[in-house]
Amino acid sequence: MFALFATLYAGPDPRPKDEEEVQQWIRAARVGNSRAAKQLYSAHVTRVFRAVRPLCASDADAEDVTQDAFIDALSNLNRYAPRPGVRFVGWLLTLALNRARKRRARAAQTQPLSETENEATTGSPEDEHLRKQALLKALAELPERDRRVICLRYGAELTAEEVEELAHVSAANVRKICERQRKALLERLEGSR
Amino acid sequence: MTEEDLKLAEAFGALAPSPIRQARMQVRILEGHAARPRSLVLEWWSLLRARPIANGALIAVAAAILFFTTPLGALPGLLRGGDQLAAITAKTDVECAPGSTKSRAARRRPTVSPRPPLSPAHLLCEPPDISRK
Repeated sequence: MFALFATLYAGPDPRPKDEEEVQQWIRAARVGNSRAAKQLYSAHVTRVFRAVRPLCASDADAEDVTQDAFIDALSNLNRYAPRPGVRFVGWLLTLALNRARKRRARAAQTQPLSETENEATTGSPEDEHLRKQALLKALAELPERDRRVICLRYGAELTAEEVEELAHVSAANVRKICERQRKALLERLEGSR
Repeated sequence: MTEEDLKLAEAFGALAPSPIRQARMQVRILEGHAARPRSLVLEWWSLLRARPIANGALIAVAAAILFFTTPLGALPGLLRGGDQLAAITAKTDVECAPGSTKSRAARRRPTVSPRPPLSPAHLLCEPPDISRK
């Protein structure tokens, strides 16, 4: 009977127009609506994966981290409380970054990061693969805090204020870091071509 | 966003997961989500919180169906007359239990008053004529 009610409670349209729509999906997913859960996943997976990829050793690691973060998030939606100025993706990224940090700490005990950071990816077109490797290499050379800020700002497309919440760096500092590292990154990317 | 910002954001596009990877993650995540341990009470409570009026009505209908189509409806009456029922049940149990000696004896012979003991004078008297009766 419960499954019937959950099915009857249809979620909204597949593409989010704003955060209010995401909140509607969250409410629907909380009561077991799998379509809403799928919509939440589809709307955020790319940003989460792009943000955690430079913080992980390989694509497979990033996949595991993203996957675990989503399962955690969808299973604990009842604990999620929206805060003013922070979107749902912020909460999702907190879970993902914690997962990535733990995984890296575990991996560091077994093998150094530099050996695994530029692991080859099969199945990508050659050009894109090269650009990806160049970006990952450039990001790997950044200090840990700056890399995190850059990944959240450009990978997850967060605002400076949202990055401030997640990275515990003031918004002004986020802007400074972005300005400084953006130039350096672009120069390295240009140099690698 | 400046032009450099856009360039870097575009470069990050290369880090996006491939469609195959995305589909694989989706399957695992949705399976994991469906298989998560759930508390039934919490789920019903979430239903109410999500849409109090519509889901409240649905829950009321479900409760009514459950009440009228199962023996659940008889429970309040049973609880009210609980003492009487307990007394009747106890009496019936004692009298009608299959191995009960009391019930067997009660079924075999009716209750009769005990005969008074015979005195020696009775032995001297003539026996009554049964055939006349």
